[in-house]
This record gives sequence, C-alpha cells and structure tokens, in this order.
Amino acid sequence: MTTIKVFYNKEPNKNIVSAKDGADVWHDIVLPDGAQSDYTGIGDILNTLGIDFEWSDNLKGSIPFINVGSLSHRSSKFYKICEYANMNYDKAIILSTQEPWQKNILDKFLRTFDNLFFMDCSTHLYDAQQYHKRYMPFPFLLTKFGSLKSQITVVHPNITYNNQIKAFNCLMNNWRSDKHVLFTILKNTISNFRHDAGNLVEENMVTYRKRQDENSPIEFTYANKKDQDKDFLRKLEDGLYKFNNIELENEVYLNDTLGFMNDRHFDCTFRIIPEHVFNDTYFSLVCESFSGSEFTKDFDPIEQGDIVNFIDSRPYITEKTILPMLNGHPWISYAEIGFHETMTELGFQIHDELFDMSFDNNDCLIQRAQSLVTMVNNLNYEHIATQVKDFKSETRQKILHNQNLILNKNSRLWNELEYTMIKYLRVFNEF
Amino acid sequence: MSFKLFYNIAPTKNNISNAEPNELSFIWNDNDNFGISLRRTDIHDMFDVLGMDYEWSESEKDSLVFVNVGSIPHQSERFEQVVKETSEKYKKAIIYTSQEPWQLNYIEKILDKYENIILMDNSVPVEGKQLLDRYKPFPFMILRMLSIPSNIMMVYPQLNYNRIKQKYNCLLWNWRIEKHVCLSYLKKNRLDINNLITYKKYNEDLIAQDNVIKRIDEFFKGWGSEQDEDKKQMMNYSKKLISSIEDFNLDNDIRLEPVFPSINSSFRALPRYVYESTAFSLVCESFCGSSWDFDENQQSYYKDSQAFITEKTLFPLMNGHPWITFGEHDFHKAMESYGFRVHDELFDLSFDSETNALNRIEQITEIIKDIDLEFVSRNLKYNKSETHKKILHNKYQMFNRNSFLWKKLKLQFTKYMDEILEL
Repeated sequence: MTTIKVFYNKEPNKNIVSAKDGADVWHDIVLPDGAQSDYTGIGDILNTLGIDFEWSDNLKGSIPFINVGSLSHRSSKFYKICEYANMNYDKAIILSTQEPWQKNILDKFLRTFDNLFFMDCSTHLYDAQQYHKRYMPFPFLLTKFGSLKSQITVVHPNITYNNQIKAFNCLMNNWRSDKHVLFTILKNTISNFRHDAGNLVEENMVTYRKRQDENSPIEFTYANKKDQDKDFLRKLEDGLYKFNNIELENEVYLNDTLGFMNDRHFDCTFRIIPEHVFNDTYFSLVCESFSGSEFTKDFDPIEQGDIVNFIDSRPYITEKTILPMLNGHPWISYAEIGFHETMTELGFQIHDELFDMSFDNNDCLIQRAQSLVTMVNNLNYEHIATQVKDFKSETRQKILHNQNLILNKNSRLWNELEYTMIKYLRVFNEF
Repeated sequence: MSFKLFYNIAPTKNNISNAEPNELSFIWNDNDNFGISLRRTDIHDMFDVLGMDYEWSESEKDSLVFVNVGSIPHQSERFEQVVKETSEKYKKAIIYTSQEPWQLNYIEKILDKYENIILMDNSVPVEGKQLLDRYKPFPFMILRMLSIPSNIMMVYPQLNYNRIKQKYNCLLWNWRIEKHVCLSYLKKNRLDINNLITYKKYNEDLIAQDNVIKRIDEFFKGWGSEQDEDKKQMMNYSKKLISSIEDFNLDNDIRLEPVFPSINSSFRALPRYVYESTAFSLVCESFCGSSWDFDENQQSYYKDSQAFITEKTLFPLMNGHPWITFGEHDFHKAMESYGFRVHDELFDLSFDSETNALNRIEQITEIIKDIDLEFVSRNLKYNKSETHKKILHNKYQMFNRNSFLWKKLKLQFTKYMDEILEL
C-alpha cells in the first residue's frame, strides 16, 4: 500500500476537533498552565501497526480522522461533531481508540451521515469483514499496549509461580453492572478452596468499588425470563446498598511531585497491576468490559450445536485481559458471549487445560457468570498448582505463546491487525 | 525462519546464574521484591522487538546458545570464568550483553583464546564492515527503549513548545570522566547559569579523590593538554572543580513507588519540564572506547564498532526534543546511518568528525554560547519548520515498526544469527 496521508487542520499530531467541541481523548491533557494539548493518538496507532504514513494539511488524498475519544455517542456534542464533519469534509472518519459504540445508535449515524465512517475500539469481525462498509471496529486497546506514547505499561518480567496464597485475583474497581453481577455471585458463594472457608470474595483477592450515583435505576435481567432467579435478583438489588469498597493492598504509585500527576495509580494511560497480585494467586479471573456487540445464535448441523454469529463486532478486548497475559499469569474472563473463542481466533491460546470453557457461549450474562463461578469454585487446585509451577506444562507453554503474540512485532496478531487497518483505509480511500 | 534459543534451566532464564545466590543481579530488571536475582535473560525481548520468529529449545543442536553476562565487567575474573566455562560446556556459544560495550583489546584476547566463543555486546557496528568474524556488536540500547519487559518507559506524546525559558538541559547524573569534563567546560564558560544541569559527584566510598584527579589528568593529557595552554588551564580548572562542586539534582524527580524511587536502568522517566522549559538537550553520551585509526588520507575510521548510542540521546529524541550530543567522534554520523536526522539546521555540526574529544567539547561549548534562544524557540513553535519536521521524522523512525531503522536493525541481526549458525 502506498503511504497513507493523515489530514491535520492545525498541526501534525493535533486533533481536528478539540476538548471544547467535546472530544475527550485520554492524552489530550490540560497542562499546568491551563493549555490544552489537543493531542490525537492516530499517529501512534499507525506507528504501532507499522503502517507507512505522513501528515498532510491538504485534504486531497488524505484522511481526516476526527478523534472523539470517550465522548458518549449518545450525546448531542457527538452529533454536532458528526454534523461538522459531514459539512466540512467530503468524507471523514469519526474515531475513538478508547470506547466501543453500540449498533443501534451507530445505525442511525450511518443513515444520517452518508459521508462519515465510524471507527471505534470494538473487535473487528473475522477476516476483517464488515456489516456496513462505513463501520470499522478495531481493537485499539491492543495497539495501545504496543505504543509507548499511548500509555505507560508496566510489566513484571519475573513473576513467581510457586508462592500462591489465594486461588485467584479479580479486580473490579469502578462500578459497572457486569462487575456488580460477578461480585454478587462471588460474595454469595462459599469457597471450596479451603475448609474453613468464607465466601469467594473473602477467600480471594477481589476488589470492588461502590456505584457513585446510587439513585439512577438499574435493571438486571435474564435473557430468558422463565429462568429468572428472583432470590438472586434481590441479592443484586440489595448489594447495591450493602456492598462496601474493597481496595487493593500495596498499590504502586507514580509520583511527579509537580502535582501534575501526583499519586497516580492504575489509570487509562498508566497500566500497572502490582506484582504481588500475580505472585500471590494462581490465576486472574478477569471481569471484562461489555461493549454490547450484537449476535445471533444459530444451529450448526455439522457441530450439532448452537454457534454464535456476530453481526457488528466481536467481543470487546481490553487491558483487563491483556495485562495478566503480558505478565505471564493464567486468565479466564467473564466477558461478552464467545469471548474466549474470539481470543482463539486472534491467535491467543486460552487455558482450556485448566478451565471448562462451556460457560462461554451461554447467552444470558447472569447465567454465564453463575456457571463460571461454579466452575472456578470446583477447580482442582492441586492440578492447577502443578501446571503453573512446571515450565514444561501446557499452561506455561500457553503463557509464553500469549506473551510472544503481544510482544513480538511480527506475530500473527500484529500482522492481522496491520492487514485489517490497511483494508479499512483502502475501503475509505476507494469510497 | 524461526531461530531456536537454547535454555538449560527453563525458557526466558539465563544459561548462567549469579555467582552467589543473594548477590544483586548483573542483569537489569532481574530481581524479586527483595532484590534477589531470578536468573532472567532478555535475549527473547530483543527478538520480540525486532519482530523475529523464535522458539525455545533445550537441545543444543541447531540452537543459538546465548549466555547473558549483563553488566559483569569484561576485564574481570568473573567474566573470564564465565567464558571459560561456557567454552568447555558448549560446542559454540554467544557471550552476550544488551547492556554494556566492550573494548577491542579484551575482545581480541577472548576470541584468540576461545575458538568456539562468539562475542556480542551493546556497541554500534561499523557500517558495512565486520572486523572479526566472531565479534558481533549490536546497538541493543535502541531495542531496549522499545521493549516493555526490559524497562518502564515514560514518553510524553507531545511537548508544549511555548514554555521555553532556558537554552538547554544537560543531565550529568552518575559520575563519569566525560561528564565531568563536559561540566567543566560549561561551568568555565558560565554556561551552567540559567540552564538546567544535573551532576553527581564521584562516589567517595568507591574511589579516592587522588585517583579521580589522576583520571582527569590522564584524560586531558591523552587529548593533548600538554601542548595546549587553554587545555592545560581547563584541566587545572577541572581538577579544582572536583573538590568544590556539589551534586545538582533535578527538582521534582519522578518516582514509581515503592518499586523505583528514582530513574534507573529499568525505569526511564523525566519530569516534563526538563523538555518543556529548555530549547534543546545537550547530551553527554557514554564513551565506549571504540577503537579507531587514521587511513592514508588522514581520515579517521572505526575498527571494531563506531560511536556509542545510548538512551541518553534516544530519550530526548523519543520525547520530541532537539538534541546535540557530546559523544565519540562521528556520533551524529552514526545516528544518520540509522535513519535519524540531526539538527544541523540549529547547530553547526562540523565538530562531529573532530577526533580530539577536547576539541569537540570546546566547539560544542562555543555553539551553545552563540546559539540564539529566540531562534531555536521560533523553530520549535512553528510547526512547519525544519526542526519540527526532523522531530516528527525521528519519532517515526523510533516508533514505526516498519521504519528504515527497524528494517536495518532486523536485517543486521538476522545476518548475524545466520552467520553464527554457519560457523
């Protein structure tokens, strides 16, 4: 592919729209003197993918990426930015490398603005297929881990595999409904790991943060109403008021004593989990983010079972799963349906030698969490301890494989991501 | 092609261990919470950054045996012991460090003595020439900067060029002779005033002051101070400075607590103001002692490896800050050979080919004295200036995995590996 031209209207690396317009880009920081950096990260993404590009202030032949960051796609500011792009450019890409968007909203935008493309951080469909040629989901959170300028990433290269004191870690800071579901189940399940056991929260390394806005209504629903467990739904409701914050012990802090970023611990551009989290537990039970990818479940006559077909994008992959993998820790994720299968399609090796993955295709997110927790609570920890300790085990081979897939710049993953982005940009240029 | 990396304990572990179980590791970023070595190696990190396919193997046959000696001094008995044991144990093996450069006289001695040993250090290969078949210098420091497991890097994606107040920063932390000489020139010319300089005194617990004075004496005399009154005066000033000068620290240093209380070889971070309050970085590079000579036309040429490139120059470049370096001669030429663009629109770089280190620092001092802060600031503020274009270009070279730099590094490294397998 020839060199891509990336359009700028102010200067290279600056976003076409600014914070005043509503753009909320992680690196677009307000400096101590009040100035706004107006940074866009698209150059960093192209660099990480190894795509040849140059900046251009000439619209002809170049691509205007309008980075809205975390601006909600339901907001009026988002709409106004689209309106601006629609009127000022022959064609443009509305971009977020930080957030996934939902299909029902996107469809409206795609219908309203026929010269706009939408590129969010959802996972692309298999073989970079597209349900709509102007929607281009791309797993940008993966690329951020390959970019030093996008974030500070801390990897512990020397975690130990023989001093575990707890079964698993499950970090659920910042309230979300899916985290609340998982926490409620863990809290209401007596641990089988020890004989003097309390519940799975007490016995493991679990964090939780209460909901900030206690007054907004939440509805927890089963996919199939006939399967509703009313007692459990009440526990979910009660938990909203009863559960207390649980924080991680021994956090690591980044201190810049200018006060500019004092006492920073884990945030969107500083990715660190303290080493003891991995040393002290056998595996990471990840509560992934849910992006609301749409799917159908169809009967596969060959497999003689249901298969999941994704419509707009595949399950969302974030730092929550990537960080344990980078640190060489076994992982299993409570995520969108078919998450582990998607990871496999991308070249990752899942830990099916440790865990029964049959929960992964349950389309009810509450039942999926319940099956997962039941499975985790009935694991043979002697087997897991042996697997994790032995560097020749299947588990350790998979750990090495997954680290290599993310860290090796010529791995199958990076080649697929490069291919997908080039395909998208070609579609844009040919439009 | 997939290369096989040999291990004798486990994948990712070094093929040798520390001499004493509780001693500090000679490999950077290899320790547990108590500072004890976990016997980590980093050769696979280098393969990963280069995007080279590899697999681990416990069979020596067709595998590359890397023995990582990290920062063990190559003049030490311990180093010789490792080489001897490695030579006896393996059919052929690579004594390797991604951290340190070695000097030619030691390299030749080792290679003469051990026929099955290949040496690979952190030096910059001479363009298109390899002095010895079994010596394979490689600029690992460039790779380390991009390797997440090798170090924690804090890079500012974009600097604000509207807050410049001083001409330059010059970070001279950790005493080395060339840093002290650099500071002497800056101070004598009163260029330390109103600029951002750090300095650390020599470690009085490790070196006696007399020995430091002796080293200064040797350095200056080695570069002709006995025949030059100005240089002699500078030498005397430099010696006096040893007893009068105190440490200059950075205000508001960045700390990663409790793991890294300050910047070190595994945590690379500088406060934003280092780059935003100054117009450029005056870098005092490490001198690795590459061997060089003059040809029949009195042109200098490097024999084993060329001017040493380290994080000291790469860090400002990655952060988008203009730089000029007091390094070994032809340093800027070496940077250009890797695809970087030097700031000759700001600085007269004719000093670069000057082989006399004192002449070089003298000329750099003159450049800094004469440079107009307004001129550099203007260049930085105007986003279509040549300076800006070079900043963008250099960042692209560093960060784009398909840039000229990375293609060249991968090609060179692959060639080395193929040659080693054929030996």
